[in-house]
Amino acid sequence: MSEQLDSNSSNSGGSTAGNRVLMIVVALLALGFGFWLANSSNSNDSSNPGRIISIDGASVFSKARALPEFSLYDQYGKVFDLARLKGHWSFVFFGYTSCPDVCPTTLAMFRKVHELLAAQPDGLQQVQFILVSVDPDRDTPEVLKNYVSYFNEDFVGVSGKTEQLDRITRALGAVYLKIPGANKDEYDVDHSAHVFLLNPEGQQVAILPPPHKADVVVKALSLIRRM
Amino acid sequence: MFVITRFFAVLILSVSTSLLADGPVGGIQIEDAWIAEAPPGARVLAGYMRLQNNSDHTIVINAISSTAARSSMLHKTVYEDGMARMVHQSAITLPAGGSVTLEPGGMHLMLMGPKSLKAGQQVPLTLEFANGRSRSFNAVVRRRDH
Repeated sequence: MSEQLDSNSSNSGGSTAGNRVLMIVVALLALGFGFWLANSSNSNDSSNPGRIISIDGASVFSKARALPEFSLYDQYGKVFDLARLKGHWSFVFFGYTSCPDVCPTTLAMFRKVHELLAAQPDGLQQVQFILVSVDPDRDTPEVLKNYVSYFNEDFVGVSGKTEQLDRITRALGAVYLKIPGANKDEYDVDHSAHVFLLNPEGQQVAILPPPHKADVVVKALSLIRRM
Repeated sequence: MFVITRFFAVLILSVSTSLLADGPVGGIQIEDAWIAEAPPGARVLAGYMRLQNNSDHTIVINAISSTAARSSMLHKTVYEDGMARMVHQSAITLPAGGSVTLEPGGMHLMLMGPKSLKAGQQVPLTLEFANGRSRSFNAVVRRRDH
């Protein structure tokens, strides 16, 4: 399986093994920091941060990391907070709807994961797919609704105030950065390309680096569900 | 009647094939050009294709434009420190015999302010070369299939 992932990374435009290792190291450092943040408010046993296990390219935490409280909105304008993460395995991706390549590629991958899970008995039970837009200025609930429902009616589109977005990105170890464009309405947002997996307690359990393959993501989920 | 229809079908096919292949001396070959279908009202669309330089000289493409969008840009998605960045490409340089693939997660054509496009539609695109010449062709709109 790791061979498959490697061959994918070589397709993604000059990503070398060295880059990949660097990317993983940086991701793990970011996660470590996020873990420290989460752990410092959640656990008495801060001397035991748990281990990170690699499963099919996914970094899986032996000890789930709690998230802080946050308040965002979904595509229907309803509050999307920590409670909305409870009771589901959540695949979370940070992006924005004016993103031409990475975001639709990832959401098309989510669509495929949804299809593959739907073919398994109880595969879709307690699973939700969430796009968190890091472009709240343009991604209103209406825009988000239009966007996510194109991929799947069940997908969740979320955004909110910057300080609320930052609470969740910081906790998960995700980053984003607005890159000014030719005019004030045309800009890019660089953003983490990882998919974050949260458990039904709303805690982070894994991080899946790109490039993503739907069948590998499905396999990682089923292994983590049984842990 | 059927024979005549077939004759014209074959004629049209052979004409379009020869346009794509650019004659026996080579030149640029465009394969599998497609535009990813996006949600209705999308502000941007991405286009992908494989470009092959069959000539014995370097070919530089400065832009790929389309009448189906307000403007266009060549972009490359670069993964750096786990972050996806969009890097503007000022040109695509194809060495003699070389090829470049525009594909999801890599180099792509970004169409800004596009018309609403549905899977199956043909979109006119134009390669604009550094030497001032250009080449028009069609890309098909396709649903992203992971």
